[in-house]
Amino acid sequence: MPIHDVGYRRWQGAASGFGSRWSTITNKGFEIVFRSQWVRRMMFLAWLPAVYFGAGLFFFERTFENRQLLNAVAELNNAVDAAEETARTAQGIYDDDGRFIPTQNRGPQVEEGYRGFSTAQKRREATLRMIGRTPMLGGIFALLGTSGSEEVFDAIISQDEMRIRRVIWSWFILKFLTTPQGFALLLLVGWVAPPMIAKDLRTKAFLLYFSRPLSKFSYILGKLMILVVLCSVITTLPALILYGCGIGLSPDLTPLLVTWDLPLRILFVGLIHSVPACLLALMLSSITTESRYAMFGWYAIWTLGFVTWRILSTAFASSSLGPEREFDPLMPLGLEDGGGWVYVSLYDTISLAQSLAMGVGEFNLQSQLAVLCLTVISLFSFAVIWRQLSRATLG
Amino acid sequence: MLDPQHYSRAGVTTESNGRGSTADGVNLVGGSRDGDATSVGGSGGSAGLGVGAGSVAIELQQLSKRLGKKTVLSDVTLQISNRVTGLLGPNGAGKSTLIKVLLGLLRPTAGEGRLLGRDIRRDQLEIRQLVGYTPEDDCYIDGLTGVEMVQMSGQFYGIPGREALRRAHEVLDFCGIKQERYREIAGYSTGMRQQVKFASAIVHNPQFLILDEPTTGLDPEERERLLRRIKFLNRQFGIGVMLSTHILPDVQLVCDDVIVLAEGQVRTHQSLQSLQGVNRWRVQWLEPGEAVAGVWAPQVTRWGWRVEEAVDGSWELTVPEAERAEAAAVAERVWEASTAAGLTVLHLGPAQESLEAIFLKAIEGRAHAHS
Repeated sequence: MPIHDVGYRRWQGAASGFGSRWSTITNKGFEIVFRSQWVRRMMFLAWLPAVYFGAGLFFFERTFENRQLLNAVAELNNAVDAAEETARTAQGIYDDDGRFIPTQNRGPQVEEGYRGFSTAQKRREATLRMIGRTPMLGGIFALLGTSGSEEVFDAIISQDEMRIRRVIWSWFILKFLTTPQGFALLLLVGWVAPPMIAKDLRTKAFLLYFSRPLSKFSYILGKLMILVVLCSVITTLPALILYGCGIGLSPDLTPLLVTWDLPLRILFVGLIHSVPACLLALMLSSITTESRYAMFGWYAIWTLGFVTWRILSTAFASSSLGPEREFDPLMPLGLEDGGGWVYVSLYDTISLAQSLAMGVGEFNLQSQLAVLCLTVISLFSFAVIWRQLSRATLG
Repeated sequence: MLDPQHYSRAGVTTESNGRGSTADGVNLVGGSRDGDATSVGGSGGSAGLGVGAGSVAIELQQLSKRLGKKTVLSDVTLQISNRVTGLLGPNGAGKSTLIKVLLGLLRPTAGEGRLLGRDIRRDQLEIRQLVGYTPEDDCYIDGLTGVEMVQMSGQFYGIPGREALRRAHEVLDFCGIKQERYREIAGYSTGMRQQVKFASAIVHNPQFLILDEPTTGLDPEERERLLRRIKFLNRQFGIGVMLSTHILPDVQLVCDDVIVLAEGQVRTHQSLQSLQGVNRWRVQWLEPGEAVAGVWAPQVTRWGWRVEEAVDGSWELTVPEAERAEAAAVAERVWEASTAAGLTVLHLGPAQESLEAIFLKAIEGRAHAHS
């Protein structure tokens, strides 16, 4: 016989307010989710990329601390400037046979493509070649991708230490959040979210939820928070730890002064990813009682969108190649080369908005539309979940 | 350990689930019941009561609800006391809709309503805080054990986590769920799920219980135990109960009042006693003859009694409400009148109508003789 067998008694304690009841769903949801061994494994694996990115950031800071990179770039810039000056002042030289050779035709080192470059472009090219010959730095830039690397090159060439640090850190963390963690989030949410509402519909649990002092909004918020916090544990939390380690290992407080706003941006970037994605996942879960259909829908939306945009962007890019390319009025808006089709890919749309939030993306129509698109997805998903719950309650 | 300041207990020794429980002081306010006066305990510990037994818990004024083009509830006007009220009606009568409207899950199309003094249109969350509800459907939260589900329910009512766990164990004990509470609900039988749903509904000490088919899937023994628990909660803790059911013996066992709904309208709303007519008597004589209609009937009519000949040759008489409880006096006067008419009484007893007959009459739309 249980030790608490005291019959029915009246409970007269103070009840908590209605506003915090959603947290019960979140807390219990966590308990249930973490009972799955697969989820625990996925969470563990999702943290591994943080080690890789942490090592990259550490190596960059060491290089930066020794000033090897900056000194080398400075020397390179000086050499480029000197060569430019010589070329500008000297019209040409006479060879051993007494023939005059104009400067621009001199020697094999003056390559065809190089000849038309501005001084800034020549500096950039020289820096790029130097970095390319340094394996570790090359590896770091490979991590940052094309747009990230270009911005970092520009910062390095400017030799503005503050700017270099800020750009590097921002890109590092953004790439960490969008690439490995974005993929981990996709897998994790796709595994955890589909049964969340679908099972409640199948077992008619909503009758138990909504006959208690719990509103539909609290229910949705409770479910959403399970996913958002799970996502934060594999995206925002490691990013913040990465940032914290970077600051902790710095010899002085300069990085903190330059990057103080990054933690806030990390939080914001994390929410930009998790909120629309998780609402979408919950919406898919709410429109069926079979969670496998919701799971299929989730992966289909991401995969098909991603592949479609890759095919379209490649096709548009190859059709716009060539020296006679005319001025495209969409270019200032960021919508050239079929850029308007980026929204078919949820992954790329989220990445655009995240770049903007991280302060490294261009603030153009394309990125603004990405934010708008995510807002619409979130509101639409919320409305569908609300409607499905209302219908279910009606019986 | 349990926090004693969170609890108060009934002021009577009561039989609950096969064991006695004693405690110190609660008063069932307004304990007078029709023909069954109830006055229990002393004073104190009644903070959770809010509404006394017999006082009005639900008040509906011309409440209507349309779903699409169909009128599911039509001009429902009711005053439901804090006793045990049976809600009867055929399928599609509007019982579940009425319950959903009371809980604020559906907004009424017209009319007003108050549950425990709260407006059903505005104060849905407050109403659900005060009311315990067990849905008719076989529903559960997947992935939870029995005790977790009751604990979670307690937390929805605002009971802090650990306290909710203690409370969950208490009410599960009260409901007779033993070690099965640690198993996942998905593996429970329908009957066990019913018990857990009932435990979830009473975990927060509700002031009113709305039970939709609570005995479905229970074996006869468990059914009887559950009905006794319902009665116990009403009698000892003043928790009003609305019991929606198709099982008429359940109503007969536990209910004080009965509401019959049909086609969205209230056909009957009375106490079970008056419905079943304990103020009606059936008389049979050895050799009735002309004397019954000629002498006996005029005599008893002069006392204000109503008489009616039944098809089997017996006679039914209805005494005024004031004389309802005086069975011995009624018998004495029937005997006197019969002797005066030269009749020999063969049988004299209450003429009860079965609840099934009342129910069938009500849903057919015919006004019951006593309504």
